[in-house]
Amino acid sequence: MKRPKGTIEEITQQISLAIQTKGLTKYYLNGKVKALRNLNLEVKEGEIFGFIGPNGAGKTTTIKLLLDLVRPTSGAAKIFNQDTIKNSVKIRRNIGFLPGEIFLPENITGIKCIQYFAGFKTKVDVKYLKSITGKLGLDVNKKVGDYSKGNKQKLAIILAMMHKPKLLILDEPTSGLDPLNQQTFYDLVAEAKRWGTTTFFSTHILEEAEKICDRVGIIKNGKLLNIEDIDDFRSKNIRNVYIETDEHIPLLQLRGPGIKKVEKTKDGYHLITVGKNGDVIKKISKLGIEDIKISEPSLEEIFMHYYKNH
Amino acid sequence: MINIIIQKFKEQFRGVIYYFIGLFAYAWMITGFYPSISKVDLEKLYSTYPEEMLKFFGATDMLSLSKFEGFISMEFLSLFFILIISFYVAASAGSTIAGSIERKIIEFQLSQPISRIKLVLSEAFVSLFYTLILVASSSLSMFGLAKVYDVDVSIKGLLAFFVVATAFLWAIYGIAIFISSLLKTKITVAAATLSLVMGFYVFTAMTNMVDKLRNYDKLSLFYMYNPQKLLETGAIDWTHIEILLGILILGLISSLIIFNNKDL
Repeated sequence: MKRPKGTIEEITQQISLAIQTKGLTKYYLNGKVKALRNLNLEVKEGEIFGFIGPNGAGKTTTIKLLLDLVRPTSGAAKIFNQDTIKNSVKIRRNIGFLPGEIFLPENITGIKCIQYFAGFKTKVDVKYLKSITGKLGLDVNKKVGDYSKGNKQKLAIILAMMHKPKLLILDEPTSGLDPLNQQTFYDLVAEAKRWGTTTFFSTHILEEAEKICDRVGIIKNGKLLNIEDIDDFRSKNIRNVYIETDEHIPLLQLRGPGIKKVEKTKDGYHLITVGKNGDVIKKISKLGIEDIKISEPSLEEIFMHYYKNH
Repeated sequence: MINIIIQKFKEQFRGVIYYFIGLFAYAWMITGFYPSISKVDLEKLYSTYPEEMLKFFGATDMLSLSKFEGFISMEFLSLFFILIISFYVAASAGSTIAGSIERKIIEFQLSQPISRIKLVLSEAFVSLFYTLILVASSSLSMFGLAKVYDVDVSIKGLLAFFVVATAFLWAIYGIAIFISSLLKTKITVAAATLSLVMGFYVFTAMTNMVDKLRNYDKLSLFYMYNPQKLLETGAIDWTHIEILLGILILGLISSLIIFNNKDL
């Protein structure tokens, strides 16, 4: 066995990192499209890391770079301390990948498709394979071409997880799944975490990230804006508050600490709040309001109002 | 790697059977015609044709056209046979790189622990094997059909034809896989390859017809493929085989270099 080199801190860091990128950059069309800019990221072994960003933020490019499907313009990436280009085949033995759009051989049955992709793996746990197939409720005797989008997604989840990989890379994993199967999927990811699997997944659904992630990275326009612990992220508690009222309330009166945005709407006012909403509710309760609705804003709204200065 | 090979064998099997049926039916038709046509003075008949037309379809000399080897070469092996198998070769090479990228199945395949080189070589192995099978089965069909219609054909000549035709079509595969690494869709790869094959054929025909071009005949791939001569003499020019295999290897290596550095 090879002894790791370096200081104790360096060795500890090397051993415990599942993904490490340094200055990872990808430009397309001779630099006209800057898909990813100087990404420095560290994902620890065993954690579930959410990569959050709107469409076109650079999430899929990052995943493609990690899988050596595209080559970086500059910078480098390591998975389990191995270079993703030099050791790509070796690295992929320990990876389960779920692409954002599923394109599988259409003219074979689900079971034949599983057998085909199992042929690439060193070892497949048949008991586990049967268990996840059962949990997802997929009829593997149907032709892949006859599957609905959701069933193709289920098959791709099975293909990504059947060999119990050390690292799961998931690109928008729940698109196409109904809420029941989404929950089954979250359970599978949580179960994989229990036996030490690291999960790196991209999403634009905040609720999903909040539900299963340990940490999240926020990416926009190819730049990593922030990496946050999920508890800190949750504590931001960014919310849309819709006040229904016939009364005219000066906007200045609605502004205050914890309120990021105030605007007049057809039926009243719209606020974007950050943090605990107690003070805001106390404040607006003194005004003559008819109704109040509080909801989670879309990712685009969050980027527009919370990360706009990044 | 083995699972890709098995899967590709299964995927292409039915298509290859259809190609074989088409080739067999055509060979049957031509061989079936020959006994009655041979009763006619073929030499006289062909002498009424424009010389350029005969040369265009690969006739080297009038005397040999009356023989079965000359007749089947002109009517089947010199162009139709090559075009049909070239279509298979171009389509399978086109689906290996350009088609897989076009259908987007390559991303998931390459997320598996397999290198790009092994993926392409596995698929190339299947295509080259099936090409060999198509040439072998066509050669055997011609032998069997000749027996049925009581026509003499030399086994040595058929063997020589099998070896050279296989190498020739493998060279076309080498060109097609190279084109596949450059273009973006399977259909454009097939169209470009078939245009090139037709271009080579027309060029060879032109070198036969136009004196000024005669010295440039070596520039065409068809210079190394003369079915009539092969069937008659059974002699293989091994330098030609080396060149044809060299084109295959060069095409494969170039496509692998390009594909290995391609963003998917």
